[in-house]
Amino acid sequence: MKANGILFFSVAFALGWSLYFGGVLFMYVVWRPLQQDISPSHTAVICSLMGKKFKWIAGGSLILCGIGYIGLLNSVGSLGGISNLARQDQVRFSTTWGLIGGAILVSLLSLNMIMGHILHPNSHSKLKLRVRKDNPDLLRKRKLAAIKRMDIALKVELILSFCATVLLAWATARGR
Amino acid sequence: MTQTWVSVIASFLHLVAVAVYVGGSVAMEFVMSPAQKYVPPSQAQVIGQKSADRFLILVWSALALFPISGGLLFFSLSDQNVVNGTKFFTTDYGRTLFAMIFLWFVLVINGSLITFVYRPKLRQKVSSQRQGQDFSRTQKEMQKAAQIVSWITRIDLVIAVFIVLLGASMAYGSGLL
Repeated sequence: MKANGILFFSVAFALGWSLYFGGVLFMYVVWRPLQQDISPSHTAVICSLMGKKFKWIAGGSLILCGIGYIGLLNSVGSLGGISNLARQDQVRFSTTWGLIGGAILVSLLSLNMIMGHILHPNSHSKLKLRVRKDNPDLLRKRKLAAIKRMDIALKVELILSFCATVLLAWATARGR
Repeated sequence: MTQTWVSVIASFLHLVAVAVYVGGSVAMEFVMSPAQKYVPPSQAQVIGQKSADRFLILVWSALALFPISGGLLFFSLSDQNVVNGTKFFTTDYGRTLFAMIFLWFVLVINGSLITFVYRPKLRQKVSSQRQGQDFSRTQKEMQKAAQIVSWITRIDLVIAVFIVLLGASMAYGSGLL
């Protein structure tokens, strides 16, 4: 029974992380450079639709990952020390490392919610016709500022994801 | 000490490769492709081609990284003692590893089919001089190729998720099969 639980949590953890991290990498390596080859109006349409969908996929993946993470730590207290193989050097995930991993997951989930629900919609916001007539530059300025904030948030997300993957690699390869 | 770093780096590369393949495929198939329907077809075709070109580079990099990082991880963790000789087929760990290698070959074959057979069909241009039967035949070929590519991508995704299941069972247990 315990072995089944461990398998379920480990798959949830691995799948959740792969979906999230792979999606973020895709956005950064494929979608963002591609925007330079598309007209701004079409970019806006596709970007807005993708953002609406991806925030749920990313959020769901992170929650799945979190369930797997908590489940694994609760079941075995370790991300690497449950193998039946005779690995002498399995180092267990101590509380400190467990907390650091948990903090990164919570930070990524918060960042994903801020990006998906505030920053990204702001970069596609529209002004009322009356306001647009009074101040034609306002929308452009707002959008540029929103895009800049989104850019910074994306970079932070990418750096945090890489740190989490390094930590995970360390835990999986050696356990701690 | 060196062995530790080799296994950490190998593990990192393996995780990145899996994420790129699984997460990238989901983003491509379920996030980007549906959004393309909301722009004019000519523009959607350009976006589809350019995104697929970029994504295929990622896919092939990931497929190349799997055996390299997996092999490094395998030997740096001294797992060869666990699956040497007949143990490759008689232990859970060995059978799971064998299944992963087999499925990797399936992914490579499917990737080759998309890259070298169906993608060139999708890229062919229909000239204005080719009209009538010729034009409709080319268009039908392209539609069929697009449908097949979509099916193969979804099959690959299912295989990749199963590989994640097998990999997780090896990383946090002693294998599944």
